[in-house]
Amino acid sequence: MVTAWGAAGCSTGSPSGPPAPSTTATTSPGGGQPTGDLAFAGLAASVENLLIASYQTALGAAGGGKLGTVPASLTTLVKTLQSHHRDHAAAWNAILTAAGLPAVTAVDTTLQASVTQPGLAALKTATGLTQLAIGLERIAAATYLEAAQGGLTTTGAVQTSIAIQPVEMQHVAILEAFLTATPVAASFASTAGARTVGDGIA
Amino acid sequence: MTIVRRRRDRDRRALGVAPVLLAGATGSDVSAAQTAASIENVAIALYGQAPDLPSVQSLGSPARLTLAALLTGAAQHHADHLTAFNAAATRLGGRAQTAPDPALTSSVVQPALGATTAAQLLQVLAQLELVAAETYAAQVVAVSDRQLKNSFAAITGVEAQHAGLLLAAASLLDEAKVASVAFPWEAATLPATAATEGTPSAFLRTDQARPPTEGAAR
Repeated sequence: MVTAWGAAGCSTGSPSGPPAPSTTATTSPGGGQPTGDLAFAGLAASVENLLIASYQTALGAAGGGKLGTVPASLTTLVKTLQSHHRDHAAAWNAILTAAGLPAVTAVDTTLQASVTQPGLAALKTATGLTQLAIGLERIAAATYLEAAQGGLTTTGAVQTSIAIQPVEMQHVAILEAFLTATPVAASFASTAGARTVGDGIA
Repeated sequence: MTIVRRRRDRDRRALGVAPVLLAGATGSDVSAAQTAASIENVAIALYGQAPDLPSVQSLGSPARLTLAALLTGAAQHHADHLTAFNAAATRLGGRAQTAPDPALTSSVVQPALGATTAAQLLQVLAQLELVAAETYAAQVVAVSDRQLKNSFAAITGVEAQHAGLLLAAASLLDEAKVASVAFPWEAATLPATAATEGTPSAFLRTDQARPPTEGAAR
């Protein structure tokens, strides 16, 4: 499912994501690092890349027998979530390349150091995998919510964020269904843990 | 609305002048908030009836209990959403919307009440949640009032969560895996693709979004 952009001349997008909408191409004076919405696009791509890589590591651990018995229902879900994140990364990179900037293939190193590296190192069970995934999906959802609520200034960037945020929320709920009797605990989404443009990207 | 403001609006109406909306907001913001409230009214009414429908009552426990809890929890969320949207509508100079969106009667309400199986009911409810999520997502970039925009952004994802869980539960019921419906899922016995049924798409669309004036208070 993709978002119809509504901007004149824009198509409804390919199955892999929405087309790159027009955004204000802002870079720092002298053509340095992007700023504004383009900087966020780079951050978002790096967060998605980190989730993709983290899930790959976790699936490898599961396949290698390092997490004990990991049911097919969980590994299949994680592969699906990973494919969604690939589509999300592609959507953000389409915005960057449409603005003449290179695609971001690196990961959010701040999040990597604080969450995924220690989380993956401590991973021992299928339950642990589920809990780690929930944490990562919550951070992604919070990041997009904060951006949509005020961090972004262009319609296209807000639309991309709000097309992705509900899906990350859905990921959280489905993962929670493996662990709790009340998979949707809150009436409103939260920005707690949102990543910011100040994060490092390796 | 403050007493002073009500008097001012009354006086303006007496002079043939329309009440002034909150600075920065538009009449369409009020309609959007009211339309959202009308969708929530549909959800609250349906979720209130759903646990007692024959299609749900016919399920054995714990599936019936799980679904009842899911529906009750979702109903509470929708009550909170209704409060938020009507608070926005009145803050912006409009009236609270207490009526359901009439356009959803034939597409959602009637099919839900007439569902012959629990799976059918859950699929219709999931469709309602998706309509809500898409409507709110569309309004994030459409409304002018910042607070209302933030409300739409904070709610669309929760509706998507409801939709996902309903879709997953419906698929389990469709596969006659009634015992697997109970939360938390027993991962070892869950069909391999059951959980993925609850997150079918990488992006939320907006092509099913309801028009922002559809549920405006008359």
